Amino acid sequence: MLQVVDLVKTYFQGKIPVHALAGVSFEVADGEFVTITGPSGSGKSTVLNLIGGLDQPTTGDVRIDNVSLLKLSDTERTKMRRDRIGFVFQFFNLLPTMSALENVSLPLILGGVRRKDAEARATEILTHVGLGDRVKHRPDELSGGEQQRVAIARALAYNPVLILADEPTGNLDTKSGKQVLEMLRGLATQERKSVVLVTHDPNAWRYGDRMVRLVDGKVDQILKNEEAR
Amino acid sequence: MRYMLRTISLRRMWEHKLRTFLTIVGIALGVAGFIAVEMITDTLKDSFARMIDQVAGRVQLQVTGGDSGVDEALLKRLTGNPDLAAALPVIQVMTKLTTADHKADRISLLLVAVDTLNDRAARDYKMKDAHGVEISDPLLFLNARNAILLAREFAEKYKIKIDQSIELQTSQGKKTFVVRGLLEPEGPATAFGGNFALMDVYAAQLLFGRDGKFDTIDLMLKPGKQVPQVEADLSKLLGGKYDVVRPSQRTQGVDNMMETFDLGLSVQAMVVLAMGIFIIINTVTTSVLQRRREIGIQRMVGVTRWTIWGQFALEGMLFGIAGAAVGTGAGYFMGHWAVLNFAGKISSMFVLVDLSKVSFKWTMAAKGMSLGVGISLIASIWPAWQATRITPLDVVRLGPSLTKGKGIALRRWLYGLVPSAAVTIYLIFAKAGFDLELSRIARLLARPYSLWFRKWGFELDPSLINRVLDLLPKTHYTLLAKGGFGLDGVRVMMITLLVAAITCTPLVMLALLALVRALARGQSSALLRLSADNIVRDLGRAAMTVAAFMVGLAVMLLIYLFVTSTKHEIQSWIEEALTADLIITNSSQIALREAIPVTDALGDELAKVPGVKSIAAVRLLMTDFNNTRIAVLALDLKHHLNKARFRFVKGDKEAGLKLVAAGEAVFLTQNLALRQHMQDAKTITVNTPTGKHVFPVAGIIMDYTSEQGAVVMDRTLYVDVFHDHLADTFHVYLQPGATHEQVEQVRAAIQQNPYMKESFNLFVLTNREFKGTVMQAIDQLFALAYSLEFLAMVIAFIGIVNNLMATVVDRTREIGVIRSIGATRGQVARIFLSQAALLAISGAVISLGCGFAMAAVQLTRIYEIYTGYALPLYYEWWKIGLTMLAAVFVGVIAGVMPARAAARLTLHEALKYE
Repeated sequence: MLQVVDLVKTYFQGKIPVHALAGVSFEVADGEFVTITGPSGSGKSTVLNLIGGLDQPTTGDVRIDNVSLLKLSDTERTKMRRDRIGFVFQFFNLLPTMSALENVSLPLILGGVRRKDAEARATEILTHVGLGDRVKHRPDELSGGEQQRVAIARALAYNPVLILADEPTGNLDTKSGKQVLEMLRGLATQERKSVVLVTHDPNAWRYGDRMVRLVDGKVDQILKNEEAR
Repeated sequence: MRYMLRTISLRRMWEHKLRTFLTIVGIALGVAGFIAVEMITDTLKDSFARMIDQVAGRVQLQVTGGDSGVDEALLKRLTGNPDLAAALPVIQVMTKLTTADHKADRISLLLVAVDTLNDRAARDYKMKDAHGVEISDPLLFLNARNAILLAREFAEKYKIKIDQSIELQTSQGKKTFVVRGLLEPEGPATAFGGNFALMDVYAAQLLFGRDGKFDTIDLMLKPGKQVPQVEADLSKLLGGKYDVVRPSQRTQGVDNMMETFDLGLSVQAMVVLAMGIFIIINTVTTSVLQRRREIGIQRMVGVTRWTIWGQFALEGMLFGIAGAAVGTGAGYFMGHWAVLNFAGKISSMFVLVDLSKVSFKWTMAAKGMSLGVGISLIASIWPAWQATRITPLDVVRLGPSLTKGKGIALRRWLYGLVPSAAVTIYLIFAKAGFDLELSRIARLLARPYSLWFRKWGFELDPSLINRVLDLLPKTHYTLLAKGGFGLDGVRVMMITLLVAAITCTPLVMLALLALVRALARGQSSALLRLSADNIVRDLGRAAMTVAAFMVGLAVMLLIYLFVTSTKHEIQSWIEEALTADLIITNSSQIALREAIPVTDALGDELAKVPGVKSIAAVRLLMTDFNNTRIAVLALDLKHHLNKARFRFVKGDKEAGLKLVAAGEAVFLTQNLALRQHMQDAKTITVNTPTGKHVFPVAGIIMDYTSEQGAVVMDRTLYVDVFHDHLADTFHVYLQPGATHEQVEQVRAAIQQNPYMKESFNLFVLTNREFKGTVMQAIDQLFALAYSLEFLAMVIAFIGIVNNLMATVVDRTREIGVIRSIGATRGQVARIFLSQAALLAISGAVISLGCGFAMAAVQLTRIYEIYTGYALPLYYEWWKIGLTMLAAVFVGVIAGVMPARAAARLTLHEALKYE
């Protein structure tokens, strides 16, 4: 489903080149849950940004269902991101002036779905993530865990095939973090969505099928869950 | 503090280059506009004063009778006066010069005519012969009636040689003169930029229609005589028939005449300058909010609140200093440009002067600089104060930095409404006749505000408050005048209106945004919603931008309504009053200052043209009256009573017309009556060549001939009293029902008549053309106001760009999120373009209310107080609609750069942005 092929990313801090990624390759199958771990500065978030088409690699390629992101125009990448990829961030990144329902409806409306239909779909997803009774609440009226669930619901709005989560539990208490991870696990197992999770959380990788460990911009090891344990 | 300035403030200003640049430009434009206006008005006044001074030479006193002149018999009486060493007759006219080869054609020239035998007592003339030897008495060369001396530089410029013949426009038509010598550039020969000619006063009397009159009699005192004493003695001796003044005092009339024009421009320039306040507040507030964490860190490491305050106040001042410095330089060039483009037209309306020397004084630069820096400091006080409220705890807080909450923003803005409401109530009570004490009201107001200050930890000293409030007037006498609000009252009313409109800005914006959100449908609703949210979350700052935009638009609307109402009223008045088929003037399209009046004998010639039924000569003479210059309008009512169309304001129309046509009384124009408080006057005393003359008043009429007011009389009476046979225009009447072709035939006949063609330089205009020319002249008078308005709109434009760029920076992460969930770059751009449009629409909506209200006050009260006219409000909705649409379009254009910046944000960078 997802192929990451020899990704290299070099950027400049002033005049000094920084090699964030130095040839990272791995694959993610349909319905597979892969966690990416590694120390700070190992290139975890950079990989996720490149997979999501938020950034362009220096060399290498990312293919989603055999479509190379590199060959897509900016608009096509935006469309791909909207229709096939869902993002979940550490700080939720909900729009503070919008209710949970409006936050989830937004990507659908931006994609041209009628407002009524978008809201119906958003209600459905919010109910699915257990927030059916909180749809009218604004982010500042929700707990951290609830906000992250709204963010997951927004990521699911277009029924994407790939979920990219960047430290989704980093800003949550243990209980809420566990709920979020279980939810992502469920998406992979029950709905056959591929999940890529970047995390520092020592317990988070246990929810994945495989773990990719990055060190200094390179793949240090790829372990199956059983092996990791 | 200097360390903080260098290590933090300057670096931050450099970091946000665009914001710094736009803020400095905003202030610079205001300062430049202010200096340019000062330069243009000063140039006009200084040029006139210089001309008076250069022509006056060593003259200590002058006997004047306004433009009507003084009787020549007076010269004999003064010549024998024991206090006087010399009494010198002078005639001074503006004329046009043409050389035989037409190398110089219709060049404006100041012609001064003096007594060739005695004038050197007062003025120095220097002339050299062909060998460069100085001639002891150049005036002796003016021994023939057609002899003339020209300033050397002028003659050389137009290649005029000694003994060459030139043509001058005189009241008798074109006349040939012989250049007998060239004056060196000294003394009077430098007047009017050196476009100067000198001739014999007695020859000028005949040629320029001053039969038995001089323009002034200049006086030299005997040694040891004191000017004030002689001035008083002579005034007594002349029995008030003429004015005895020092030459410098003669500028007063022009200063007064230009007062309304000067005031209008100055107020407008101040408004443009004040718009910079909004930009500074916006910039410093944005800076404070974006650097909240940095301020928290400073506070954590021990920086005091006052140092924080000083840091931001200083930043505001730095913008002011840089803006004022740039603005002063720009103003210098803008002033030169303005003088070059506008001063000529303004000068032709008020007084013809040489505009080659543009006035620029360091005091203007100092005033502009201090105003620019001053308003910047004032504008940064509040945001700097906000910075002091940030605590070290803010270091650990996350979340959108600029979110202040609409409630707080609304409340703070509405605090400003309290004084406006109080002033309104005060004015209502004052109008109703209650004797309210300003200081008592201010004390009442001071109480809640001092509590408010206490809330923030500041204790205001009550004795200090009392001392400040004691400075206010004890009663409302300055605000009220007999019969309604005086000038101070209406000024307060205008400011109140503007402050009320500004403080209501966030409220109106919220209502408008709610409406937009309710009406928006489909995909655009989501984008509009995001745009509206962006505004609501920064309501305070957004309101600041809208307020600046609104002020600019309101003033623009005010000017539009003022000009349109003026034009409409004058047009309908001319339609009514001007019934002639053709209007003829000499040397200028309309009777401006540059027109040379001609002998009324020309009227007899015109009457002979086939197709002409009758001719009416019109004379418009400016004369000094109560320290200003009013017009004396002489009309041929005796022969054209049936053609007279007056709008009567007071008096019996039938009886009044009969009296005036018979030369037994005069009419006063309404503005003269109001300005000079002569609504109930039975007589009016006017300067004439035979001294002050008392005329009975037969009524008050509406007339727009002179902004300062006019006395309207029959021509026969005028000729009798003023000994003046000249005419400024001739009204030509054809047979009733004459067709357009017939009018054109008569026009062609006049233009081709050999006598008129050879001798005069006539402009023959049809009724419609003349009206068009008058309308054009009004537009030209307001051209400078429109230019200033353009500056205001540029500043408003900068305000929107500044605000939106700050929003882009502040919403960077959100933009990243929106993009990451599928918004295209185009959609992000549309969010910011819509935001710009919403800001502009809000400004336009508020400016409509504010502009109309201010125009109503301006037209009905301020204009009436200054000119005596109360103009009815006139406008065309479609034009206003179009202007507002254009303003919104300008707002959207202002959004283009921020929208592009937002759309071009790199996604992963945007998401990392804190």
